[in-house]
Amino acid sequence: MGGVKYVSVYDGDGNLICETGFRLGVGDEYVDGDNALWRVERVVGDSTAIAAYVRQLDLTSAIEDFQATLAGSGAAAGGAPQVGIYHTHSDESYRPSDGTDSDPGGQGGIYRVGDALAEGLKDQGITVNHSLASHLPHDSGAYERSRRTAMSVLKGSAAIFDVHRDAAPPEAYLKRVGGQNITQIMMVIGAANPQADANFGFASALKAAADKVRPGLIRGILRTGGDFNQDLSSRALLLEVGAHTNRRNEAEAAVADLAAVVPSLLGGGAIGTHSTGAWRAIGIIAILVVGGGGLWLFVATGGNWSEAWRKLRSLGQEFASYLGRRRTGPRR
Amino acid sequence: MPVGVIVLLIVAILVYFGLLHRVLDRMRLDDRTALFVIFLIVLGSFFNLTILRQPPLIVNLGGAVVPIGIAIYLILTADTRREKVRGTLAAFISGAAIYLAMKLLNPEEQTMIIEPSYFFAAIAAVVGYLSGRSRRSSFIAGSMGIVLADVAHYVEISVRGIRGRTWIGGAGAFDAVVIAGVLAVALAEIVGETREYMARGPLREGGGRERGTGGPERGTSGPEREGGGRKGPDGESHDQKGGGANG
Repeated sequence: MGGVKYVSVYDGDGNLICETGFRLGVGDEYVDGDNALWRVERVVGDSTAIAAYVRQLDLTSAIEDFQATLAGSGAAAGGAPQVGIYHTHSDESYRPSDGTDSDPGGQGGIYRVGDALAEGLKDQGITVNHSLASHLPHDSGAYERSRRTAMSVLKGSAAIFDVHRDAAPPEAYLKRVGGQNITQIMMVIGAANPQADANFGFASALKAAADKVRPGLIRGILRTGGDFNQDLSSRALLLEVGAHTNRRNEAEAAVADLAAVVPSLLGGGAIGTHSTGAWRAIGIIAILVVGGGGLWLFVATGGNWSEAWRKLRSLGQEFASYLGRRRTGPRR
Repeated sequence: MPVGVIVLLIVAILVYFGLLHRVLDRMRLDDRTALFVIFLIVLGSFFNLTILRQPPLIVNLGGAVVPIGIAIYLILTADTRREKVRGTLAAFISGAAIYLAMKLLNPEEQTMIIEPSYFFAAIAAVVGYLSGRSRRSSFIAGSMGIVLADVAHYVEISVRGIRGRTWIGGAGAFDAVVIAGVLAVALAEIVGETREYMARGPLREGGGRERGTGGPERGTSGPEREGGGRKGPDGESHDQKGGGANG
């Protein structure tokens, strides 16, 4: 997240819920540190949003549920898993430490935070594939460019993290945890991606695990528009580690704490996906194929259904050519 | 792996590569050649070639080299010089549109209607179709538009001294380069079929050749259709009044 603009989210009584540089929209959801679920109902200008309380989430079974899906996905028990780390917004930095909130040279302080996360994971016996690739400039093509990096770090990884920093006042993220100042971490889910539910399950489990050993480390989980390349894996998360107004060493301390939590969740190194949403996705694909195909047939034949049926039957004949018998004469 | 996910993967693969085969089929590639091209795209997805080192310019064989090869083949085998020029121009117009979109649109992804890979591929598809107006030109503009936008990105980071890299087609078979080509031809097919239907009405039952299905069989010029429009020898249907080819 670049720039200094941020959005303040309030409840109906004017109590502050959170502040973030994400441009929120109606319907976006936020799980706060106490696991209360909030939904944005109104956006006022570009700096204020009003959210309504939905319900209290119970994350006590989130870890078990997540590990059950890991087991179901065929991930091997034991063995050192691998985690992928990359940074879509390569310029993001921490002003108090780096002297700027955006390094146009692509050597953003965010890479040092990624290094700290990588070192913490390696100390836990996890293999890390940390890509230092730059995806500058920070424009709307950045996620398109980082998608290619995400696919490369995904190979062999049990989970991938796109590490960012947010844009918000320092107090929005600064917290004293375990006797030291750290910046909290907010996990972000792209609601537009078909694996959003699975990503949210992973984020919930990670929060539940972190809440046990480091209460206060996870600021919350934001579910907003976009994809953030999270369609690539059911265990792909975007991490906002502090804001541009926080000190980088506090962000590094936060990810070091997070690294201690990750191994307790991830099993073997194999990538697996669980079936949440899979059957729904199949249904959607079937509807699109049947509906789209039907529409095409209608247009192509002008509503002549006998002709449409003939065309449909001829589709099967096309595959005969793959099996070796070459057609002779013009194809119908 | 859960059954649901296995089925989903199979369905997704069949739909995606079935569509890709259909697109290649419309490009005068026979079934075996089309299948071979798809095989090359998939196999090539695992290989990258570093063209330049500082800053790095990398091309993925399946996600970039093969689609570029197809586009060049389509340009070289176009029947008229006009088609060649139009296809080439369409590619540059599409590339410029994508590059501008990357600069002008809000960089925060949640403001985009659809995921960037498909969003920019869709821009390339629409611009490619509008510029080329035929399936062949649409594919050229769609795929090459993404490639040229990536080339423009490489020029930008080189000139401005920005630390970065350009990885053309890096997502392999699922890169925007391939997706844009597929979307562009699909768009040409849909719009072309719709326009022909609206212009000439429904096909007579049992009569004549299929209308608006993408041109005559390969190697034939095809009979005239009702209303006088003739499908050209390049497999593209051309409006009788010459108002631009309609794929």
